[in-house]
Amino acid sequence: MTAEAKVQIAVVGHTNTGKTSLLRTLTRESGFGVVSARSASTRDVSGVALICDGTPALALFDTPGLEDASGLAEALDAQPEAADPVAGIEQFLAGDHGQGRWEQEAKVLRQLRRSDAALYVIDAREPVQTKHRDELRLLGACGRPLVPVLNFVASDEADPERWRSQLARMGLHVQASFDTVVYDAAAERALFDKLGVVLDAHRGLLQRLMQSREAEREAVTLAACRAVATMLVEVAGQRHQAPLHVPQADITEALRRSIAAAEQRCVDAVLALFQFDLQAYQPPELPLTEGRWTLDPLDPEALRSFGIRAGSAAATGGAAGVAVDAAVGGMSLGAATVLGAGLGAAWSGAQTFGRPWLDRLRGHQQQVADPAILALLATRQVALLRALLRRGHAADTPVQMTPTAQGWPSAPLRDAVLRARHRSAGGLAATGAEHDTAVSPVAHQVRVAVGAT
Amino acid sequence: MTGAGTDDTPCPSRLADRLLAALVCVREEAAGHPADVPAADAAARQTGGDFARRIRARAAALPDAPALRKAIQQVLGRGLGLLLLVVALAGFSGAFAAAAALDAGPPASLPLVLLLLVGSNLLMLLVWLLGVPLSRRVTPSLGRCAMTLWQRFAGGRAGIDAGDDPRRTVLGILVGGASGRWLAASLGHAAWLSFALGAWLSLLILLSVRAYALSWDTTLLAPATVAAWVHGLSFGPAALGAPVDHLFAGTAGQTVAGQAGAQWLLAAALAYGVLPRLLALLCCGGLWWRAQARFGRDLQRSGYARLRRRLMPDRVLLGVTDAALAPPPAAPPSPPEAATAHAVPWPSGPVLGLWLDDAGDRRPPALPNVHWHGLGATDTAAARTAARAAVAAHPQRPVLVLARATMSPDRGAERFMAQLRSLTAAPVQLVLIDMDRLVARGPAPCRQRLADWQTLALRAGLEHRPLQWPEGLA
Ligand SMILES: Nc1nc2c(ncn2[C@@H]2O[C@H](COP(=O)(O)OP(=O)(O)O)[C@@H](O)[C@H]2O)c(=O)[nH]1
Ligand SMILES: [Mg+2]
Repeated sequence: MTAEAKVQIAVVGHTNTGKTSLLRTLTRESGFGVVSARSASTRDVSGVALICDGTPALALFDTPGLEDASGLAEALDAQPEAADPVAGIEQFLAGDHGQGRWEQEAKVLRQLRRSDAALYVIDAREPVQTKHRDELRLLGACGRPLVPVLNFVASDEADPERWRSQLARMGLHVQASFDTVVYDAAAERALFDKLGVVLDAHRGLLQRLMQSREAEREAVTLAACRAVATMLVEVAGQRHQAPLHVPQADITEALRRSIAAAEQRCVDAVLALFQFDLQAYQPPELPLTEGRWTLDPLDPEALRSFGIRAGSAAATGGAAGVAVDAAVGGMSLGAATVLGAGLGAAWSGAQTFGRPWLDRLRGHQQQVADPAILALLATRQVALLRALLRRGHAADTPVQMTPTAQGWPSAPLRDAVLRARHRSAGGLAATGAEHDTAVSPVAHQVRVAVGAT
Repeated sequence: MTGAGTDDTPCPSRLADRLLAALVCVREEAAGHPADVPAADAAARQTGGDFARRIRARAAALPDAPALRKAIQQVLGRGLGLLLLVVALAGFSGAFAAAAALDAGPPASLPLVLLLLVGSNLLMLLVWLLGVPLSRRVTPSLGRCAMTLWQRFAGGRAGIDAGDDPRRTVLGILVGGASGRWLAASLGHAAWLSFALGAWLSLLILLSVRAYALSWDTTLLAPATVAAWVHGLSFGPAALGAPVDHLFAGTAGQTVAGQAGAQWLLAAALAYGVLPRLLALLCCGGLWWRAQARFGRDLQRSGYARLRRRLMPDRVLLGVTDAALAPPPAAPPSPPEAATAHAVPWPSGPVLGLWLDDAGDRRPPALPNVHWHGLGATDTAAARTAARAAVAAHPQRPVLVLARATMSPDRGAERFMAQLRSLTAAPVQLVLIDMDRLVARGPAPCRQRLADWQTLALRAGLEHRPLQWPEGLA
């Protein structure tokens, strides 16, 4: 891992334009450097190398902000005449940097001389100014390709169009737009593509890097959907049992606590998968006041889930009956099919409606999560996944989610969860392998509900 | 499904290693986060290879891996013991069933022997086959049943806390899902195979060493019907090379089965008893093998997926490559109350105004009694030189520097204002404009930015004019 990356990119720009933020978001390293809305928060040059196929492919270097490009330009003009701009810069770097006055600018120029190209980060909310021209002239004198990156483009104040035309007037036609806080996968791909344009020799490498990052992102998304699905199935299958004399409120409270813990575990897993701070989102309290029998015969949800269940049980029984019919050469004229279907449905019904009464007889009462709670959990987690997919690693405010609407994120997801509810009764925790039957369909529906990355 | 393309190629690994990885995964998922053991992570990265392989390497390098391995060996050992026990019992019962069926004479009835040794076997095979479509539903209960049994068994004997007994978890992994389904089926087939083999061996030995009177006769069926049935069933024995043509050496209405009948019986027991079960066992065993190969490979499970960053890092921090020489300049002490007390009044009369950056041709703010002069932009080297000259030319004229509040206060501005300060005897003050845009960014950034401007003005030595806090923010 100590090998030097094949491509070195310096991230440069005026102070406070989001250079450190860009590094955080591009490297998914939310702890990188110091990000603040004040000037000169970054004072040294530090880097992160992105790995592709096990070797460092692209190193990004964060640099201090340019704060006095005009002053430095003046000083450079006062220097003894150099053969060309690059020689002028070398001459400046070899000196004492104006008695340390342009130490910060010297670091930027030195890093740029060491790099293959630079991303010039621009706060697109700022008006286009002459000082930018000074900065670009200075950076251009280093003899490295510059790709301007318009940052803050998701802000209302940003005026990217003006910037684009002004940059084009300065001869910078290859430009990228980005917002380090509101993440956009397409913008990131475009940024790498633009780098590929100015670094033609490394275009293949950049493409491979981008592909491996996209594959990784999809894998992370799937794993996050899986974590959400596991939580939903687990909560759906939870049964809290207690002797009859225990007050109902106590059981409800125990159920609520265990559901909240399951949700918190899921949120932690999802945040960790996306490599965000675990503080980035705290699920609000569950409004669980009352658990109840899921399969209250009058509950439409329950009836629906029973319909599904009886249907599939009847289908299985029927299939067995068909096999018997076939085995006896059709002599039973399909009687076995009918019988099998009936038995399947009866078995399923007995499991659903008989169990509670059996428990009562045995002196137990039992509570399960209300379908409304399952809906709330599902909606909240899907909204969280969506928010995280649009969150850059530079974001330092907690995830904001608008109060979620009532009901399930999608009808197929509801059906999948309610169906899994019966399969997972008794808990998934120990038997890892039950995942494929109970969780996979739910995970698939969560992925569909979350939408494109 | 996985990030790197190499992840899908299975590499050889032992069942125990995969179980260990799955066990660690279940445990860490229950704990809510993967254990932090940097040494194990480093060992896994050292191992290299695909993600699944690194996960196994990490699991093997965890400090309590030996204990977990022991638990796995115990479960596998007990499972094997159970298998052997069941197989042995079934083998013996097959042998006894064969002996008993032959002894139910004389003469011993060939149809009866066949029915007892092969019929029951085939019937149960058929029942199992019919149950296969249902088994997805049934095995979870089977698995839970096994777990409950284990709990009773282990809990009763050793008083183990069932909750975090790794053996319980291992068992759960083995008997859950597809693995459990095919494991249960394989166990059944193994037992029946052993039954059939025991019966066949017993038949072979008994028929070789003793003389039995064998008969095809039944009470109800006519010899011709029996013959038709036997012919119908003969394709199996024929395929195994048994004589099928002269089976019925009938005398006086009796159908006595001789040596040929015994050979036919042995061949039929082999063809209809042993071979189907062998085939079923091979199938189910193969399916179980496939199912167990997925232990520790379900890389989307959060227990595994959360390890990806640690075991297959996609980036490496290079650290500081060019460190800052000096610590950041300390902010000058500026107690806000004292500053407010000594607030400088607005100048009046002719005032030299300068835009700190290129603000186009905007009008300056209207201040009472202020006549603006100058008002060039000063964000280039040349403009700053000109501005310095203008200030130096009127050393008695107050200077107001106009800056957009949203601009980042930087060292360039500070240096420039300090230069202006040194060039004139009159007051130099900073005026922030466009406050509404700053306010729109929220109270915290606004307060921060104003404080930074204040600090900058103090450092540049400007006449102190406390910057106005917008309404409702102070
Ligand atoms: N809304 C928004 N804020 C950003 C964006 N990029 C940076 N910031 C904020 O801008 C400020 C300066 O960012 P920083 O990375 O420290 O800038 P640097 O000085 O160039 O390294 C911080 O408060 C960031 O949170 C962006 O794209 N959108
Ligand atoms: Mg920075």
